[in-house]
Amino acid sequence: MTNELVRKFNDIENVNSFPEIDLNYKVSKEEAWSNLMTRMDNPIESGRSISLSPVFRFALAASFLLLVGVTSFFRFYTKTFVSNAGEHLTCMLPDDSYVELNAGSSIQYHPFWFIVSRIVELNGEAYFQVTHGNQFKVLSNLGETTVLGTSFNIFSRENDYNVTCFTGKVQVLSFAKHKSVLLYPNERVYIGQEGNLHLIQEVKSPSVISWRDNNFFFTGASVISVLQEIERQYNIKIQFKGNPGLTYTGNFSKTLSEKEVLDLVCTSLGLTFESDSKTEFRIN
Amino acid sequence: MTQEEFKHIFDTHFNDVRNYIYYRSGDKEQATEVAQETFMILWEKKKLFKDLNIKALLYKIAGNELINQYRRQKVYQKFQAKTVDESFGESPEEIASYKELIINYELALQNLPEKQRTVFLMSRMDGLKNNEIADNLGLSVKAVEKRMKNALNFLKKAIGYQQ
Repeated sequence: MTNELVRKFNDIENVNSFPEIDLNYKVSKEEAWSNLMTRMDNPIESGRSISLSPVFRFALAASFLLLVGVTSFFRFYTKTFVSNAGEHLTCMLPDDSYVELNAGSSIQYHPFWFIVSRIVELNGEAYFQVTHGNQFKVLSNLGETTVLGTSFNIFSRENDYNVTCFTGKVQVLSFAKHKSVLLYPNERVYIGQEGNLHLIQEVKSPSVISWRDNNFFFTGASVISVLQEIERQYNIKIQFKGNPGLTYTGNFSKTLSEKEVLDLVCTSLGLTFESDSKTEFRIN
Repeated sequence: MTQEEFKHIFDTHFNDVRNYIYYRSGDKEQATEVAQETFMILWEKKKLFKDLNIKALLYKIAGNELINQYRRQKVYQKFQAKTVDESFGESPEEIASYKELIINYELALQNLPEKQRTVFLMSRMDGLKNNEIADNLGLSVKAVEKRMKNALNFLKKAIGYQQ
């Protein structure tokens, strides 16, 4: 008998060659049914809904609203730093990142939400030195710059957007084309017309952020952008009636007065200027 | 659903549902508990379950209920083969080797992945066809066949079957 079983066991072709297992339960089907019947007759026992008193409900709703309110306060509370024309401003972000704003620039961020996501909105020009950590994003009209922890300079005014990387790696995204580029140290990218990204390698990086030391370098820059920079740095108004296609190469330092600077620029371009008042100038 | 109809459903399916849970969990007491709970849920929510495939529904409810309980406690599995007592007139060696086979088989059932074991035992113990198992568990026949095949291979290997 056993011999035959062993043989059968070893002769496995289908399911039924395996032994059966024991299926005796302590509780019989009939007992299970009578258990069910008792429970069916006392439905309260199995009631699962919880009724709440009105006061408790109100408290629950109120605390929920409070929670939502507090959270959205922390989420949306905004802090703004503005550097007016004629001044530079240095500010620290909650994560000890360091931002230096050039004249006529501003940044905006959510201080209480900063630990969760480091996002700064920038208008103008600024030098960033970012503490290493999670993604750090700088949003502007034309593009977005993403880093982990590095230093870089962003110029974002009207139709100009350019980013220069000094240390680490920087990712720049153009909104119009939805394209992005990765910058390594001493590289610069600018967003040209129609949102295309143009990469420039081997940038003389010190001259890009010389504005931090009140020195201003221009290489083949349009005369308009040079005058706009002077307007911002000295908080003056300049009317320009000359040829806007002129380009200027040179530098000036803010140790000079506005008249000396204008003189410097105008002489090299063969232009003359008159002052209408202390803060208003005309160039012909 | 009247109480008589409910009783009929209970009589037809209770054993299968209880066995199904036992095949999965290896715990008879839990199987009884889950099966009872399953029918209780069916009775309480009878209005919701109108016009549905009762059989597949019961398996589904039972499976969910088992998972709920699994979270509360980790059970120790136990499967016992039916013992054969008509072993007289055989040499002690043969009896010993047969007992060893049985022990290996019981152990193999424990170690068999739950899904394969369930399909295997539903076929072996309840004599269900592959397509019936597929209907009950909401699986494709192909999936059941595959689990079946894997289960057989696993068991063969585990009890040292060689050829």
